[in-house]
Amino acid sequence: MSAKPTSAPSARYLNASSAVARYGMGVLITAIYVFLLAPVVIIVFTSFNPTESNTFPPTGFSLRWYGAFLESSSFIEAFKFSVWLGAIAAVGATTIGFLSSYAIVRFLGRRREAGQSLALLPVMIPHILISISLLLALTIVPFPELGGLIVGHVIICLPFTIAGITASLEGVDEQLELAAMTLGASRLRTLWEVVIPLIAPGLLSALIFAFIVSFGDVYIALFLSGPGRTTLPIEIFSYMQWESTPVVAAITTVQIMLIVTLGLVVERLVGLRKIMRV
Amino acid sequence: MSQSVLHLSGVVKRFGETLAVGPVGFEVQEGEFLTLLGPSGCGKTTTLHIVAGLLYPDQGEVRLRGREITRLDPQHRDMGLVFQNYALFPHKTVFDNVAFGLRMRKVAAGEIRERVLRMLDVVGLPGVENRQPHQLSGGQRQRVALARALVIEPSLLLLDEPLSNLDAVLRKRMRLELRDIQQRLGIATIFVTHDQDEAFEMSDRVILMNVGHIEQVATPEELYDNPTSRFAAEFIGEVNLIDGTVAGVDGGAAQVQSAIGGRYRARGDLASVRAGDEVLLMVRPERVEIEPDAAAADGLVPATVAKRVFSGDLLIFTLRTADGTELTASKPSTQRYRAIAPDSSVWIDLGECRLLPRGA
Ligand SMILES: Nc1ncnc2c1ncn2[C@@H]1O[C@H](COP(=O)(O)OP(=O)(O)O)[C@@H](O)[C@H]1O
Ligand SMILES: [Mg+2]
Repeated sequence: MSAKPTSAPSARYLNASSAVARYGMGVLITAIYVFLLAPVVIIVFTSFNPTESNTFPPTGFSLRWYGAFLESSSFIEAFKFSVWLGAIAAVGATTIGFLSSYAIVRFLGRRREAGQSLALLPVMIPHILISISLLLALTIVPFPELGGLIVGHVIICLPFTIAGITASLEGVDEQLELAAMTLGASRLRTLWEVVIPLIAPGLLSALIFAFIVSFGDVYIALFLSGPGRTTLPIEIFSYMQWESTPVVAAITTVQIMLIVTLGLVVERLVGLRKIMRV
Repeated sequence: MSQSVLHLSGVVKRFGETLAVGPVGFEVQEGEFLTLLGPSGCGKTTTLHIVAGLLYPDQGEVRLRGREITRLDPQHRDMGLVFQNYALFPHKTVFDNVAFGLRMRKVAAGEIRERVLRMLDVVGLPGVENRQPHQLSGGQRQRVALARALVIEPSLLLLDEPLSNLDAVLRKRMRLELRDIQQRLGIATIFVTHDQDEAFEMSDRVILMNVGHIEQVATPEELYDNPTSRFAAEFIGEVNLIDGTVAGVDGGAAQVQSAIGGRYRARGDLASVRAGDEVLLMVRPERVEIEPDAAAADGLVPATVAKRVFSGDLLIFTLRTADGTELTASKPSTQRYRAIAPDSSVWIDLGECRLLPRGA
């Protein structure tokens, strides 16, 4: 009996406080987004500056620094090299990631959780440590430096491809594979005919995601890119030690566009959140 | 004597500590419809997967037409397996699903087309070859799965509870149809089910399984009339089990003094039965005779009608005897039996019973 009268006012009280909470939450979330996106917005605007200085807000509108980027052979070479390296790392990390994920999902049984955690370990290791260990390895095994760079990029991409592909594989009913095998397909043929087509979106997303990770890397390339050939982030890094013009903002804007486009493709394919949950 | 297609002997399979199957041995004859019947978890699927090569046994041997195939890869076994959830390839059309096995066997494209379309006809699904599996009903998917398994003309057709995902009406119709297709093609078949009605309606022989081992191998009639264990008697249909003591054994039957009072003849495995043994008498409900007329009841056991349930064609009586034993009798709902009211006194006769060991 006594519970009835108190419940009505307390409900109103909760409503009032939740309105305040909702309002406060809205402000907080907006602030976080502004904080996250402000640098991006500033860079994009700065890239349209007509003058040599990185002033914000821009003093006018010009595409002069985009022209400068296209005319700079060192930036263009570095850009091409980054794309080439990203493509190789993506294919390597996706192939190895697929095989490891398949083994983890189908053959590890109860030890699967452990296998998955182990495969995702490189995410916890600072990339600079991976880079230095590879550099040390190169002093022991005489391996071309380019090889070291590719291996390094494959390593930093692998956790992302494995996370995404295991998630996709978990959605494939094992009975489909057993059915294919009883119908005369070998394990390899079953992968090709049944498994790969069913997880194609996951594989494509893994490729794109690995490409983005490789493309944005600084630490591996810092130690492992050979003389002459270097990646775009390193080229920007060394340029900025001597000069500072909005050409860097222009290049960065191009990169942002590239990554946002690829991100949208992945989102359409499997949903970005699924892959990011490493 | 027909030739045996498949021969399993001494097959044992463990998953870690648990013994899933074994030891199990049986044969499948040419053209035979053999059913593995048993409760869920008794090892039916495991046995079927050992036959298909999806699992290898820890011990024992599997032979296909005399050739040892115990550890042969599934893709070289030449068996058509239909899964419980059908396992159709969701990214392939019906045609490509059915054609899969033929493509793996490198059959020419023209022949594949002809055989796939013919098989879709056989399973009663002409004209759906361009659809995707998700566009089909459960019953249609089941037929596609069957066509996919049959089109490769396997030595053996393996069916793992193929009807259990269908609704009741469709399930009944598919039983007859499946049996009909099997007989037309004359293909040796192992059918797995936990449903006794399915097993009885479709099978030439039934293998009754219980916790990994075989309880009994028999035709449906034998299994119904002459179960050899209490498990078999209780798993198959309705049954009355009455305690009894053997009074004597003579000429292929035992005389048993029952707990309800009467003395009955009982047949069964009498090899080790001696006078004085404690046994069980088994009698099916339709064999229990009810006599309402005291004048005709000489030598019968008196009982009262504790309950009477009308189910259309049948009347199900629950009869309680003086010692408190309750027996079920199912009788045709004719005037004679409708006249027997609840709570009335009657006399019962069990006729000839089946003798079973008292143990589990
Ligand atoms: N892959 C497996 N790992 C562990 N135990 C299993 C596995 N498959 C089956 N079992 C066990 O083996 C027994 C038999 O299973 P199964 O053959 O699927 O039975 P049924 O098909 O008759 O229902 C069950 O106790 C089941 O739990
Ligand atoms: Mg099963």
